Amino acid sequence: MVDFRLVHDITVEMCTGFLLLGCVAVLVKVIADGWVKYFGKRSARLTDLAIKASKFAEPASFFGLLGGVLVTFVSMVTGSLAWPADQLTSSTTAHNKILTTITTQTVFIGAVLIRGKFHDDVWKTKSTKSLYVIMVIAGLTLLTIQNSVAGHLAGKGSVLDDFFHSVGINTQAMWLFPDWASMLIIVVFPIMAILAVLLIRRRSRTARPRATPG
Amino acid sequence: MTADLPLENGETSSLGSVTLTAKHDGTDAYFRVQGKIDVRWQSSSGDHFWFGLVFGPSTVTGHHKSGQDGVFFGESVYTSSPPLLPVDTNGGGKPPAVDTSQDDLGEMKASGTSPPFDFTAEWKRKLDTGDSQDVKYVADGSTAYNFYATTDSDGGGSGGGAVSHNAVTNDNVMRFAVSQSTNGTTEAIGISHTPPSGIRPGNQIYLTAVLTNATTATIKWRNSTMTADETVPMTNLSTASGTGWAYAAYLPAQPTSTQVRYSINASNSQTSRSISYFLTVAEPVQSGVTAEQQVTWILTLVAIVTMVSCVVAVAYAFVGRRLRRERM
Repeated sequence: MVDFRLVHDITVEMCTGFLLLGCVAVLVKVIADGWVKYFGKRSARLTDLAIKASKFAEPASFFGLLGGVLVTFVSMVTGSLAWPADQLTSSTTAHNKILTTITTQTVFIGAVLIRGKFHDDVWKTKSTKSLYVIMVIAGLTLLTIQNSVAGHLAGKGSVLDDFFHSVGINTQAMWLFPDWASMLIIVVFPIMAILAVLLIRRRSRTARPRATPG
Repeated sequence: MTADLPLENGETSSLGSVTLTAKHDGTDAYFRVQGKIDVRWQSSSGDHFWFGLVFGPSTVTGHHKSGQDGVFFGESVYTSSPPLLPVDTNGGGKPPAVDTSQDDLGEMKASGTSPPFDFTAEWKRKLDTGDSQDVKYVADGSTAYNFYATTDSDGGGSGGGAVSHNAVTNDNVMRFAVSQSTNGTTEAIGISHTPPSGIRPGNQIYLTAVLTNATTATIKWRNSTMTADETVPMTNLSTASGTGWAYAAYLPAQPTSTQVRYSINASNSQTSRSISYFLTVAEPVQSGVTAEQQVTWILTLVAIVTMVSCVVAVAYAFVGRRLRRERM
């Protein structure tokens, strides 16, 4: 008989490893590109290394993020099989884990969709690059919080607990929005998003094309 | 056994150590801790402090480690108001997770008019509680257990004082001596009973036991505020169970959270036998999620996913338009 707790442990380690690879590769690319842009003339050897690192990091980041998102889905299935249903529904920590996991997964899915659709073009403009990097860093932060909650679920605690306590976060309580705030978000955010997309399209139409040489 | 025990709070004054008195009778282990603290336990939102002690096997050293078994008094994450009953915990969480089965009986009280205030925490538990979340105490005189005790009054389950619970690490070791107590004359009567759990204030407490070779039985009980025992008879339910008979009794509903100590006293024409138990009457804390919370949690989940999805959709649209503009 397969012990699903063991399988879940393996899938959790795999998705964390993949996602960490993706995030670290993004940070490596940011640092490498930054070196080439600002200090490129200082050391030819380091600049050459940075160019190679940047070329390697870009596909590695996509591979890591895509692998992490896919294995996280597998991990969700093994987690639901590994934990008895009554334990999942009665544990406040399990609720926090599910909440943080789904939030993290949504952010990383967004990063994968953007990178998958626009390929490495996202790195060609400052604004799209910044947006992509912010999204990946946000995912990494959420991933760290998610794994801290997982430490509690496993009864091991977390090195982040002192930080959580210092900012008044109770790691034992269930993390909830007030009902009115949830309802407000559910109604307002889609409307805001539609308006924002329409505004982006309108500004894009009205923006003048860049002058081309010749 | 009585010993001065250094606390993990690192205080060099009288706040930094306690007097620990411990004994066992082969079935139960009894502990008393007397120390000093800089605030009284007034309320969970005002001045309050906690005392905690964690046990672990000799292979587990340090604080907040997996495999440790703790007892905490006054930690406001666990306890919202007096009486400051012991909370049985496990694991290395901060704070540690509450055990599903609460196996510690006791209370902590503080006294005095100015700091440092005196506090005393007393509790008992079975050497072997049968709970997988507890450390089993083996009374063989050689098995060593590492243990750590500390107080806290400056936040994180406490407040109003200046004692931080985690400043040093003292690897204290305890061994349980081989039991000297045996009583062969009472073995003829068998008492099989498991204290009920999940008793809430306002509900009668129904106790059942299977008694072997007994003809009559009574229960002596008291809650944490009573000064004398009350006695209620047990009724033979005329139902055979194994080699004995099922007996039952009701204890009165307790109006507020408390711990009820009781003993089942069974006797026949030749001999008698008594075994002590306890149960906790409390509103459910830290375990279980109400239906209202489930609804609020689902709304929270939908709200967060909606929020993040909207941000992602806008980012996607922005990147698409920006790159298209770049290509023009």
